[in-house]
Amino acid sequence: MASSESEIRAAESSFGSQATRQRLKSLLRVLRRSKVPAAFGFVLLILVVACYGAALFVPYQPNERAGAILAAPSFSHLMGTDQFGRDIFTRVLYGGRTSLTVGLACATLASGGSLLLALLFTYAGGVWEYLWLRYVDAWLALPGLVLLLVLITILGPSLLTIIGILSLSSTITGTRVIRSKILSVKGEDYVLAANALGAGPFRIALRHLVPNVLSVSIVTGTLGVGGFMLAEAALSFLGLGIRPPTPSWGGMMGVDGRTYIMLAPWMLIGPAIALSLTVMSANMFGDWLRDVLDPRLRGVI
Amino acid sequence: MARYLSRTLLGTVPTLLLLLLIVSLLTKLVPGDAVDSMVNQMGGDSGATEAQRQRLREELGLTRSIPEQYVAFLRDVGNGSLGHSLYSSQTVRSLISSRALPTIELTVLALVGSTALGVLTGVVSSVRRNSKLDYLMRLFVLIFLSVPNFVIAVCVVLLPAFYWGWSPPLQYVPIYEGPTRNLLFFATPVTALAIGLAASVARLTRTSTLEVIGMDYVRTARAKGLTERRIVYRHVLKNSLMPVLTLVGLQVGFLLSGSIIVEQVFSIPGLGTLLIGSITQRDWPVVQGLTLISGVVVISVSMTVELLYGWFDPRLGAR
Repeated sequence: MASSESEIRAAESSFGSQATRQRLKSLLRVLRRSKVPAAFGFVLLILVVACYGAALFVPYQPNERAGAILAAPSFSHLMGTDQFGRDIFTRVLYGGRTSLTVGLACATLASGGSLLLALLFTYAGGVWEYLWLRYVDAWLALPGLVLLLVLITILGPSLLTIIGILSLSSTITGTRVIRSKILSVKGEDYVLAANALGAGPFRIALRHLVPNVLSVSIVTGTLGVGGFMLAEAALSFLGLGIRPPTPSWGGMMGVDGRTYIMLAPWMLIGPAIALSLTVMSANMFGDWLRDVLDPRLRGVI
Repeated sequence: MARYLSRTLLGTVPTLLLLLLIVSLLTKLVPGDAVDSMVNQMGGDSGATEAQRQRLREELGLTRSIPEQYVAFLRDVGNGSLGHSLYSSQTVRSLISSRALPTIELTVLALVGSTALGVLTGVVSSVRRNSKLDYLMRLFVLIFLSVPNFVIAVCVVLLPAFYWGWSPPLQYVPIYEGPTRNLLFFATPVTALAIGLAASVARLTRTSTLEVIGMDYVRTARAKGLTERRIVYRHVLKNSLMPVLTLVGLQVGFLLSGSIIVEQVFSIPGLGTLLIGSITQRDWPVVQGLTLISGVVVISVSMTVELLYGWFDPRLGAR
């Protein structure tokens, strides 16, 4: 039996917006207190600014011959030059654009997509849900790199296809984690109450499920950024990702870096440090975010 | 227990079939197939006319429709041959089995090594909480979690060469031909592969053990007067290792992917290099067979983990 709109809203208000407001306040409090992990967020911010705004910081172009070939790091070339005389620091910064774009774009797409898909299939229930779970299992059984390699050979290695493939894989496998959170939220009292009051499925989904599941979504997304960057780097390392001369951290460490490793180890060290630092900051930031949003997730994600 | 087993096994069958379907669909989408690749290898367009290529395609069975190919593949799986490679005349199965040993050795060594190292580090780190040792270990864990495994792989070869003028043996020797050389050879690739995984395991073990140590029954054991060591061995370990077991099960997929990269870097003649080679050559039956094998491995590992759960935690075993 459906109650009137105002009755539903009155009953929900004690659980919905007030709780959210309180949570936002405590979040701000925690942000102000914890310094060390937040520092990683700051490092991440600096990296993002440095890479996307590289043109402002470095005088060279990533593909121009800027100096002697295979020159060691010096004041004019902070990370030395490669076998073509290109400044490595510049290439690292420009390559960071690729890696960061892949990481951030994939993380956003994947967490948003898996949230949507999980909501859809958990609500559909029944045979659809069962089939979807089997499909996810099949996808999980494929080792990620294998699938990636096959798809890359089909579609050709461009930035867009890499982003698309990585996010597709993660979207599908991510629905599992989100689904378990959806199920646990569904069993909570306020959802049962809303249902009893006659709120329709869309309303329940939007007002109650999504805000509570969002924390899981955000944490998985943030922690996923590092993973996506590593995946793109691995692909480029194998020569199957972003093609030269476009700089990318994995590519710089791949054939070029390894060929000249004895003569010019800085060719490898520059991107290696950049990649590791970025992934580390992303991971630490994600950990901190998870602890802030929902410490119970510690063993799970 | 038997019912649980059979139910799980049955549940994996649709998963496997779906897996194969995905792979078959993918292979059909690739532009440029094995025949083109073969011709290119032998010297470009001058060699074969379009008619000749088409005939070769028919011979190799590339022109059949997707359902036909899927059914044919299922049949190949059924009779155990897993299809025929488009390049060599071998069956996929013999091709895989001839190159499986190095990969198996690499993966098993990496799994064992990483779990042992990770659990050890995690437990020591948690038992001596906040000591210098703990901080040092946590630093290492952090570093190795972020540095990608191919970077570690290259560094592991580079650093000894630079500083000590020594480089590990870079030639693969099967274990039955020379155990010492074989193990020495595997030291570097296994380290590269395992250390990232060990870092994850260590971090999870530490968190899990800390949680268990804080529990009431440990406090009771201490009040009873048991030594710390006995407490850790008898009570804490078993309970804290459960989430680690899940993690290890999940990481097998990661190990398989990582081994592909490591094999490539160290030129190990295993399944990873076979996979990359077949993809480059568009030798799809081999890719299908390898995907099937890896899917089976991952699924069996998850099943084993589920079974081990029942053994570790008696509460779950009562089904």
